[in-house]
Amino acid sequence: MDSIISLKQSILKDFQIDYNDCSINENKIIELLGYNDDTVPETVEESVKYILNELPGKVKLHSGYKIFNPRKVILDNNKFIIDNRLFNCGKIIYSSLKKSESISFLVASIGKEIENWSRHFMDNNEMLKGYLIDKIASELVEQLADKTEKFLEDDLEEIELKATNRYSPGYCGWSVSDQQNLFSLLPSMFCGVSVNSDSLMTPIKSVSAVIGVGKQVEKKDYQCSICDIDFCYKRERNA
Amino acid sequence: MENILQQLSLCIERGKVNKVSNYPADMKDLPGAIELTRQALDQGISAKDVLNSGFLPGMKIVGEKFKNGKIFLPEVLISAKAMSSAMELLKPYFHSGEISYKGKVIMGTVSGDLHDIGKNIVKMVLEGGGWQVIDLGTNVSAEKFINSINSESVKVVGLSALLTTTMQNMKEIVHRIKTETNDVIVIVGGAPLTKEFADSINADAYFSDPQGMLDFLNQKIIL
Repeated sequence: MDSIISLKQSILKDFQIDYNDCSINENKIIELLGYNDDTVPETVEESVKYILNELPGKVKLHSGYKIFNPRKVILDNNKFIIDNRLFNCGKIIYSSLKKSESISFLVASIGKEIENWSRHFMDNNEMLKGYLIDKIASELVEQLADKTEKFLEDDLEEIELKATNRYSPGYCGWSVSDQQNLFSLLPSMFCGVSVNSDSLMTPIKSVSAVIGVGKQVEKKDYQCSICDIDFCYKRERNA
Repeated sequence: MENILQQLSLCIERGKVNKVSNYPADMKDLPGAIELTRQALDQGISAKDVLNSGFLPGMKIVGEKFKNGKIFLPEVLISAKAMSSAMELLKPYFHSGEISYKGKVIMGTVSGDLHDIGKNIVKMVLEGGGWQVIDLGTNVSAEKFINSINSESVKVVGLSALLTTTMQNMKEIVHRIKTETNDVIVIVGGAPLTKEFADSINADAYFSDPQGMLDFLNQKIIL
């Protein structure tokens, strides 16, 4: 099958995902906090259990992706252009995308209520619970993005195409200001997410990313050693 | 006197809020920071001694353990809760002037940025270290920082940012504080920041952990 012919137009999909299809593991959270089973204080363990128990009622998992018509996509010189909008993705991301026939954007969000829940605890001298909710929410939205990435890969496989890793504005040398252009190419409030003039997404616990699409592209282990962003979530998750 | 203040310090270090709190398990049913603070004040121990010999040593140990990687953030927050719960009993003494803060610091997350967990943690550690913090919240503009500096006569400001975009807003805010106020020390922090970035925007100091900022204030700032 000719992949370019098979991808003659843009494809837009969105998903409402059940929490149970994207649940998160208590041990993983304990590990992300820096502990192991023997060292975690009991009040931290209890708080994590409590939050995970309440979490399904506090989140709304919504995600989706758009694969652009290859004829609207140009990749060149550490940049890509879609529909005349320029994205300065930088050399790290470009080196992964450069063999792409098209580009896709992915968005995932777990909704606004969890922010209010965390805030409630913060405002009532319960910093620990507020902090843990924030940490767990960050992990959940990454898992939702992982799941959505898998949906995209499965759809691409049907038309004999592959996907690169996903890269988000603000990481791997890509300016977060390109978030504006990214959302301008998606339907308004796609997956319930908007972006403000400072390129901040609302709800805060949202992920946006680019993924290259093509026959020749590859998904690789993240090359954290060639990037100097110490605080990156990928570095933390891959540690 | 020494014994009760040592116990108070230990309660804050271990995060024992009050008698009914079950954490930590090995201190179950023992009085916590709230009861010991009340007991110390009832025994006639001055509020100043309670603060300086009970609260501050406990939080100092916590800050150093965190700085040295011996404990993680959740334990800092557990201790900070014990400290801030007991601190409520000392507030009247601050208001009456019987005890005074070491100084006053303005803190805020810079404009465009709504993240405040890091700032709130630093705030709790500074308060636990005897500093008064005027928290301007999140998404704070240069004007708001400058107005607060002038109205509160504050000489130290802490700016927080979590996003690479809002680091640019931080640069603008530091510039305006430096040009529109006199002799204000600007301290910056936040996950994406580095000392190099802080130097490049003309900030006076950068710290990657709350204890670093507290140590700096205690050692360098005399107000």
